[in-house]
Amino acid sequence: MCQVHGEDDIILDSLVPSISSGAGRKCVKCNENVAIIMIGTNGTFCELCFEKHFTHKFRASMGRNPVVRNGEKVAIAFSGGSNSAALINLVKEGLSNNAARKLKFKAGIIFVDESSIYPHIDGMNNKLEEVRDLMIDSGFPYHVIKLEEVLNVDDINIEITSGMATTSKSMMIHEIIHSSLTLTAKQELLYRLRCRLLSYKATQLGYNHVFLGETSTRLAVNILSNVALGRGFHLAQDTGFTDGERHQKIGCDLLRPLRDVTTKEVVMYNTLHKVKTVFFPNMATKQSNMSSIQNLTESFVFGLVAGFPSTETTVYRTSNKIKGVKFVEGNAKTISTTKFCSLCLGVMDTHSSNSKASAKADLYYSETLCKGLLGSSVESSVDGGKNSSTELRSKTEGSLCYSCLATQKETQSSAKDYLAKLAIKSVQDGDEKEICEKLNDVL
Amino acid sequence: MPLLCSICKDKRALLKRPKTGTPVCKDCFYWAFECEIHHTIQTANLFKRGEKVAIGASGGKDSTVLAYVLKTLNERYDYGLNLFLLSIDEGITGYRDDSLETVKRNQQQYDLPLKVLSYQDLYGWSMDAIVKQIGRKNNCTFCGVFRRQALDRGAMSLGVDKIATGHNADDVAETIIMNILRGDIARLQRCTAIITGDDPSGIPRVKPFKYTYEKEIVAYAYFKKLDYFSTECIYAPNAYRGHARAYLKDLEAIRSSTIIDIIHSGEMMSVKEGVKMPVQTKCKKCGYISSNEFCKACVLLEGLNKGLPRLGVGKTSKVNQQLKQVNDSKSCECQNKSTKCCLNNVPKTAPSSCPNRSKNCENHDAKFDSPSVKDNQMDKTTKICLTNSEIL
Repeated sequence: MCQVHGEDDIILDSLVPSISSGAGRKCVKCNENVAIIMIGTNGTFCELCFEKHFTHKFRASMGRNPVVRNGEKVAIAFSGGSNSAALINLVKEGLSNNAARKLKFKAGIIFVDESSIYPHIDGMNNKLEEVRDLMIDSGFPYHVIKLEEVLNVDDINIEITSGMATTSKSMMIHEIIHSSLTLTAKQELLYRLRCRLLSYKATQLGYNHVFLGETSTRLAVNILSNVALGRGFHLAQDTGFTDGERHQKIGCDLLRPLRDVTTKEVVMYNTLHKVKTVFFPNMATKQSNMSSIQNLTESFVFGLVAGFPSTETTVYRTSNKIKGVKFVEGNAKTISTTKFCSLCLGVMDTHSSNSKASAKADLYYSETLCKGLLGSSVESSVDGGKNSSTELRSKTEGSLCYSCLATQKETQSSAKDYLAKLAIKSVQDGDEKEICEKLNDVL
Repeated sequence: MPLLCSICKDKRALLKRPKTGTPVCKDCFYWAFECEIHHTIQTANLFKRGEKVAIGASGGKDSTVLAYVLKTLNERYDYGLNLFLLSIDEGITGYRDDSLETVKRNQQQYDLPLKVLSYQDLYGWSMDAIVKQIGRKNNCTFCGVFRRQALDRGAMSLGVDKIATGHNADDVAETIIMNILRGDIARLQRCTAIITGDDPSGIPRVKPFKYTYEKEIVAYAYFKKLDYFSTECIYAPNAYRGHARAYLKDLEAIRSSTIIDIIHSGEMMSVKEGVKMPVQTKCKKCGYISSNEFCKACVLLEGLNKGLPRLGVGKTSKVNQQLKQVNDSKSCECQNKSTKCCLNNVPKTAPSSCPNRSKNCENHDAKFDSPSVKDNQMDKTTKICLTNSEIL
């Protein structure tokens, strides 16, 4: 049977010859054994030293960021891919009795089943079975949760237009994702929903933290694409070891213990440990570079790393030194109605406080100019009947951060509806009871 | 039915504004374009009444439109500014000489006084001569560093209060991307400022086009039939920045608001507490603002004058290392009698003739073959010359 293993195999193929032909080079650590891998600027490592080095980086990142306390429960987010598979193996080894310094937490695995948004892809069930087998093999307790359960987080139902008699949640989530107009918005929306679901579900299942398998390679791509998406304010939370208190409203925090290792190292580790992975095609698979900001950034970073290898580490180290600006309280002139973005749950960055001229303010001014509203209040009073819906829209916009607002602009029908309901929910949760009453009237 | 302008809702739309995606007619485009720049100038307090403002004019589209718009707005809204054109002649035959002609025409068209400063006069080197020394690679380092200082020097000699440059939104976004790729957090923070110069002695630079798309500037210049010069610098291809630029253009094609989104990202980032940042000081040699003991222009110029053009191109840490080596090796006195060779005959071409570099001279070899130095040929030469001259 022909089995697709995706990108991993390609990388492996390119590694195999280097294992055999790199015979001349010795390990820089022990200076005895033959090296098998070159790690960035650190030099060549033999199998044994690489293992130590790799495991050390994982353990060191946990040591530097002592978030997980003894006896706590950690859920590993498993996607079937190589990063999260390696993470499971690392945790498994760290918890085993012959580990040098045994990890002191309990672990479980969460797999998010996104098959409902890919109804046309064949063989999903087989792949899901494979994943299940892998999770059983790991020996950890595991949970398979469906992406549509994210709708339960906020108890949201949306109407879908397809006219089917029964509107299941799986159809709703399909509608929400696919009613986005661009792949950029779809990918962004899916990522945010997945984080939301993981945090929520893990807490429901009694876990204290979630481990994500994002490596420095992935993070370098994420950093740049987040900047391009206007998410600079949240960069520290989106790419740091911990996402801080971002998800505390709905669940536990998300941690990135693999952020100091590269994907290359992960693949090597998986090869040495014969870690199995399952490849799931997603929205970005087989799409061109120009199909979305995320895809473009990925190919840009990989192309750049090929020519300038240090770019990857430079970019992700840059992110270690960055945080969002501080808004001067009181001075902040805000157009937002909530403190947190209702989609990505980050702190709102649409205040225009620090300097009077800002990109946000400028964009707003340009939009006002182009609507021809400046100096003529005639427009707004003309469509008095539509006032309520405009108000709803402006409230939705008021509860989204800069970047999520850009995403929202590229959505329609169901996705817009979902975002509007999220907005109402977050306003309700907040103190602004008044606004929420207004909004309910509108609906 | 033709698409109507969304502002006047009367005339036929001529172009879609890249920032907002709305169709506008020609007149409304001019109006919106000028309004936005006026808005930026007002909200950011870029100018004060009565100030003398030098417009950095290269003859290219950005500076030509800047000169035109500033003059227009100055008259329309009565800013009370005293505007000048300030040009730098890098001495690039086939590029700058032609573009300077454009600036000279602009001077007459807009009736603004013009001052031209050349690298030759300021530094004794034209870019053509520098490229002969350094080659095609890395020459942008010289040009960029020298121009920055040249503008300031020119502005000082004119006695202006501010320098306005034509940096547009694309440039700012590109710089943000570049600084992330290079891990330069200090500049990452500085590059988003619309008005530079916390330093009281320096002349503040303002970017009235910070939120203006390059595309719109081109469109404005095109429709207004402004006289500008549009050729790439003949030495331009700079591999790394080129990548960033191409990436940005692709991003813009996918989502046109990206450029302003990146600027938003840049404005919203700050450096974490406890991160070591370079402190800005004054150059010990020329007194210009610098992150190091000696400013980049002085280092580069010294390298050129000593026939070592690669000094200072590359990592700052390496330059510092070289400077440190100088101090260390000052105590090293070569017993070889031909020391003179190094002292006097500052090698312009191949310095391998110096007998001090042969194995006979143990002191030298011991000093310079330290394992930390990889780049032997050039670094050795550099160091020998550094040792024996009063560089910096």
